[in-house]
Amino acid sequence: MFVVLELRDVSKRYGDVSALSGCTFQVRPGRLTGFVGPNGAGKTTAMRAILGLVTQDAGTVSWRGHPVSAADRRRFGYMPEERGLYPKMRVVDQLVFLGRLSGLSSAAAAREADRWLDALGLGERKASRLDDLSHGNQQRVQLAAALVHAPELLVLDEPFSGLDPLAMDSMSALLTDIAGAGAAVLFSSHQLDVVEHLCEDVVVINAGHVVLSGDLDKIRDAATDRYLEVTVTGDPDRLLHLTDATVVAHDGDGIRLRVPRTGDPVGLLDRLRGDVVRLAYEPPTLSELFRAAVAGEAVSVSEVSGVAG
Amino acid sequence: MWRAELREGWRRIWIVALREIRERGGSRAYRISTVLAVLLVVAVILIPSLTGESKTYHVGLTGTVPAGTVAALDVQANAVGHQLETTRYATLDQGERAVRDKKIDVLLVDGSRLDWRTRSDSTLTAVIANALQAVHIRQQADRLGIPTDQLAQLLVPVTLTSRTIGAAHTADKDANTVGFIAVGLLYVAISFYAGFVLTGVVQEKANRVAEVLLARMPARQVLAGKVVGIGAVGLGQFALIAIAAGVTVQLMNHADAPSIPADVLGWTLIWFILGYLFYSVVYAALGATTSRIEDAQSAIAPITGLMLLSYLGVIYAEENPDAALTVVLSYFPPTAPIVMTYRVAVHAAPGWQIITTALVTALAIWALMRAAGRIYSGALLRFGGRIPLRDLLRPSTT
Repeated sequence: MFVVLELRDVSKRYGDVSALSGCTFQVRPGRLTGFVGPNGAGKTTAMRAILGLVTQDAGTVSWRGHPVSAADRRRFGYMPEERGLYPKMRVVDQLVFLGRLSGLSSAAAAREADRWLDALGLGERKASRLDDLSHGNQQRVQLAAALVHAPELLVLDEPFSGLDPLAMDSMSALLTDIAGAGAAVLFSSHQLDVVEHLCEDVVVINAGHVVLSGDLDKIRDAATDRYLEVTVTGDPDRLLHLTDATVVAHDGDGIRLRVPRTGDPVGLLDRLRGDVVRLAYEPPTLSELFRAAVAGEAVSVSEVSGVAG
Repeated sequence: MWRAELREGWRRIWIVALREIRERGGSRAYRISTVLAVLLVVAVILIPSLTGESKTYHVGLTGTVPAGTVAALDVQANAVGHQLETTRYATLDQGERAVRDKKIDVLLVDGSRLDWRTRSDSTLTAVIANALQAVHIRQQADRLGIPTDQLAQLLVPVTLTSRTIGAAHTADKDANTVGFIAVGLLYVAISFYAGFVLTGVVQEKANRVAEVLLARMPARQVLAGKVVGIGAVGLGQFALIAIAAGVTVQLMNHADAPSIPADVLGWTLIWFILGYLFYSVVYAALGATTSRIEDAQSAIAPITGLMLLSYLGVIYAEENPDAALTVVLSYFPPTAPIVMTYRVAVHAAPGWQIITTALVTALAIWALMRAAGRIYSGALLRFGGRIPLRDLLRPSTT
């Protein structure tokens, strides 16, 4: 499938600390790519390398097949983890200013700033100073700042942090729309359920290198384990004695078991007969894949290493 | 391709500069400080002249007063550009009371003694002495029977012209005054506007706007735009104050004000720009290595020391305008702007030296700009305590 952004073997050291080592992954247009990893895994450094805020010690960042140039980067939009705009400046002025710096003419920048402020429900607050806005509205202005020049690649560092549930919903809808319009969207998040729900593609990074990346459904399908979640009437304890199964959660009537992909789900069902209230048989969730990949828990990811970097 | 990129770079520098001009120039703080500064300068010029350079002396007369004394006093006072009024007192007591009550400056007793209140005034003493001398000569001439026309010939005043021959070792007084005023203004203006750049840089880093900007443009362009924008705002304010001062002096038609030659004015402006650029770039780079304004102040302390050194250099140059140390300070970029401004004002620097020192300073600014760009981009995304400059100048860490 078509790739617009590619990081290949990108490494970066800060003194004795290695922030990225051989980081390789790809981002495709028209899709949301979730970028996950524990704190300090190198997400922010990788994003900064994409934007040219950090010069990598080795490796390449390429855009549409050639090393990314300053002119390419002008078509990127970026929202840093540490939000930052001028507190005393009027909202619309900030967006026009940033839009012009991204190459728009003053007229186009003014038009786009207006359009985004209206679209994000800030039409009434155009002339307000940033520090007169609520925290949530400041976040929206920050997002508008990343979008004002209609970027082909949107890089967002933790866009969901600090948002209330409603704001999270509107952020999700917006990102989906932007990707739907053809842009490539890469965002980092600690909220794995959000990433799993929203993203077609994921990149899992740990200790500076990518441990999993690609189409999330394919990664899940390729996992060597399956999960069987069953709620039964009566005592679920007898399920604890199933061969080849590991209990991962046991909660009242319900139980979640890890079984080999090569196992026999029909045989399992046979043994449970009659008592099943609810049943699910599924590949690992992103969160399970993440834990396995990052913490070395007992799920083998060897079979998906072809997708990983 | 690179040409388009270059043009785009200038465009972005201009956009950043324009933001500084709009946000700072349009702020209430800026307008208030400009108005206050203009009022202050106008007041400083007006007040001394209102309290009187050309003043009116009040002289009391008592006892015997030689004929023609009052007229002679008037003539002598006018000759030195002052007015003089006389009052007669019937008794010495009345006259002395008038002195004590400050109704008169001095009491002339019997045409031969001056009674002052606390301190004598040398100008007034000379005026009175000359007047009495003239009266005395006229009396003697009458006694000797010298005709009036012959007396007039005897009393033809000697013409004494004066000129200044340039500063071999001492500057003439007016030029020296102009030099010190220019240096003082430059010192204040450079510290003030370079200080704006320092706080602006630290604020942008603390607000985290820096990262948003650096994602759009190279650090050196952010730096250049900021320095140019704040410089323009500063220069505008500086110009307004200078125009207000100039207009005030003109309107007062003040003959005593030292005139400022155009070349001195021009060079002062050029050295202001060079000095501002030098210090603001250094301030910006050092400011970027810190995350709080308090730390930034201590980071620039050594540089503030260099500013002070410039001022000491001027004091040294006043006595030794051509000494080797003075020339060295003229070529040393941190001290050049202030030392050279003074030397230009007192005509102590040859033309070629003015140009070469300006070129050396400009070259230093260019080199500094490059280093500062590197420091800036390396430091803006690192937070915490101060970042050692050594780390930032190594290319691998940017």
